[in-house]
Amino acid sequence: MGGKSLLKRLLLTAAALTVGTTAGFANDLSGMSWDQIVSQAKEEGKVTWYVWHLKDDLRRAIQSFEEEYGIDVVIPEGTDTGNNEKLLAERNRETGDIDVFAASSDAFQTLDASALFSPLTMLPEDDGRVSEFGGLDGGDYIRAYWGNQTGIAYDPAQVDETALPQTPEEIAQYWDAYPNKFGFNYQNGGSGPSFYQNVLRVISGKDFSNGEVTDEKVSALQSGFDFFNEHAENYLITTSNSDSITRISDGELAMAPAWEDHLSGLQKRGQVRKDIKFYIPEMGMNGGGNGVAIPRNAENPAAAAVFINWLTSPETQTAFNRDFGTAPMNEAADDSFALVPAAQRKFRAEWAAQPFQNKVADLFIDNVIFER
Amino acid sequence: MTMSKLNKVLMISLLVICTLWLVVPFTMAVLWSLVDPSQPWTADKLLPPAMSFYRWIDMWQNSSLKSALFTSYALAPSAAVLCLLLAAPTAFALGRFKFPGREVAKTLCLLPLVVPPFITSIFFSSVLFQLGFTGWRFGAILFAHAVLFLPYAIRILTVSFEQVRQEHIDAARDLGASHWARFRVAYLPALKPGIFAALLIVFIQSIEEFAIAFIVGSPSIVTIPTLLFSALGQDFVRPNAAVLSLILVVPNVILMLVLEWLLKSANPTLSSGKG
Repeated sequence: MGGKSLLKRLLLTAAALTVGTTAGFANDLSGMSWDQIVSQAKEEGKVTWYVWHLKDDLRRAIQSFEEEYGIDVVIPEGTDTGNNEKLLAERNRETGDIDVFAASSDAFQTLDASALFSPLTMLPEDDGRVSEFGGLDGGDYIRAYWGNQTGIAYDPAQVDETALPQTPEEIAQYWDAYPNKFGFNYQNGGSGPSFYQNVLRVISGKDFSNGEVTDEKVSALQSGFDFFNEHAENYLITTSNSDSITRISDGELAMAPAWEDHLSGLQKRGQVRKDIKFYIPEMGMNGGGNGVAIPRNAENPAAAAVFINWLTSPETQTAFNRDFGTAPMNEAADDSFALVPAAQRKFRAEWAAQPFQNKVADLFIDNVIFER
Repeated sequence: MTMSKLNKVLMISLLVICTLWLVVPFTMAVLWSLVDPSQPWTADKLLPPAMSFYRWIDMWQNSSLKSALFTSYALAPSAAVLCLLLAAPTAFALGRFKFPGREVAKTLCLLPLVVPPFITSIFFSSVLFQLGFTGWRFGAILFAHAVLFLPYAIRILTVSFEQVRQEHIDAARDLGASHWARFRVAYLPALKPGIFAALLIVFIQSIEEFAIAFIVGSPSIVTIPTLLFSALGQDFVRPNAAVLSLILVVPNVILMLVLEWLLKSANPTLSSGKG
């Protein structure tokens, strides 16, 4: 390649990057019947799934898909931010490396779904599939495959299971009766934030589903901050989701907010005691989730569609509930294997809308954490 | 207490502290690596209740450890050498020639280091994709690392080139030395510490670089940082992390010994003729 033509290519590249084109790609499945898509998927023979969590376990979980369809699933090593960066860096490649992209609802909110992903309208009709989760509306582009739930993990050896605290008042009574046996994190994971935000929501009596930050809503939070400050001597602050659970397992704490799937995973991998239990208090705690989408320049779009169809099916969602303790993301799925009885699911709350959620977090740190 | 006694006491305390410094973390890592998945090791137990080599066998067989080790330890030295070769002409010009704006040019060479890595990695990888470098992913990462870490190599080598003494070059020339002989006797002794330092810094930068190696290399090429971030981040499993760190210690100890030997052989005071 001559120097001039290299320079020309570099300039063209820079121009293309600046404009950020999303040219049409030759992997359009529209107009094909589902049977045609399945047979094309089998010809493609492979699907690369960029997923950022529990990769080792998911590699085992997808074996039934590989056996059923004869399509190999590759789950590369990687991280959540790494996957996001790769998705953005490759958006203008004609054919990218990512066939199916997984991310949390939070991460999807930072991405322009219609520019990056193909619509999933080719999937067979299934009303049970979920596109709205964790405050995200995935529209035609994103489907949830992993539901998770925050709640309170407890050590049954130390806690009376018949009198689990359900409301902020009962929790405060527990704090006073058993000082320093309850801990929660305010950073490094969402379990603690879910706890204190719901306490603040209940005590303030305000609607958090509207993201607007108003003086009235902000001043209503003060009663909640006072609640935490009055009892500050009797609860602990932990450093992360994992720290909370580990300290229950070690016997130091008796109760701490946790993610249901996280606790279940740690128990299955032998990291914490298997007798630790979990419940969702009646005051409500937040649910969250991960979704999948197909990048516009996926190399194996048909295999990706067939994989997503399998991943979000009632059968797979039932299996995930059994193996990982997730909240099923298909309404027809069976969730009887979860750590919590199905009846408790009605206490699932949604995350406060942004930017109010961040405002609450900042204020909580200023008014409660820094006051300790 | 006499001086010799005090020295002895201090020496023994130092040895004890150093031994503890090494022994305690390593013992913990070895014990954690032996924790069997059937029973967790909680704080109330001095030793793991069930021990086995399950994690070692599992990590060695089922993770990308082997290929990651091979890729990273092939990539980093190659990137270091390539980067050195690319940096040498610029460093020679900046170190040996006087021209207006030389100091500005030196500063400009360092500017890429202040751009946040997130920006560099996305855009540089995107440029590599657009240039069609993806056919040979290893080559693309090698090229990227050699180019990205040029500022370090240029800066270090420039200082080395500045330290080459003109009278050594002149004397060699007067004695009829050829180009190569002049380089060997006048330049090389002064450059040696800089060459080793540059190789080392680029080696370290390359072996710990994650973003570009991941964006360009994934899914077929896995490097050690990709594996580490993947295993030690979201899905942190302490026993597996212990296995991974213990395995990675081995090449690092070997490298440290080689480095120690190299730096001894590159004593600048010996080469400059000044004690």
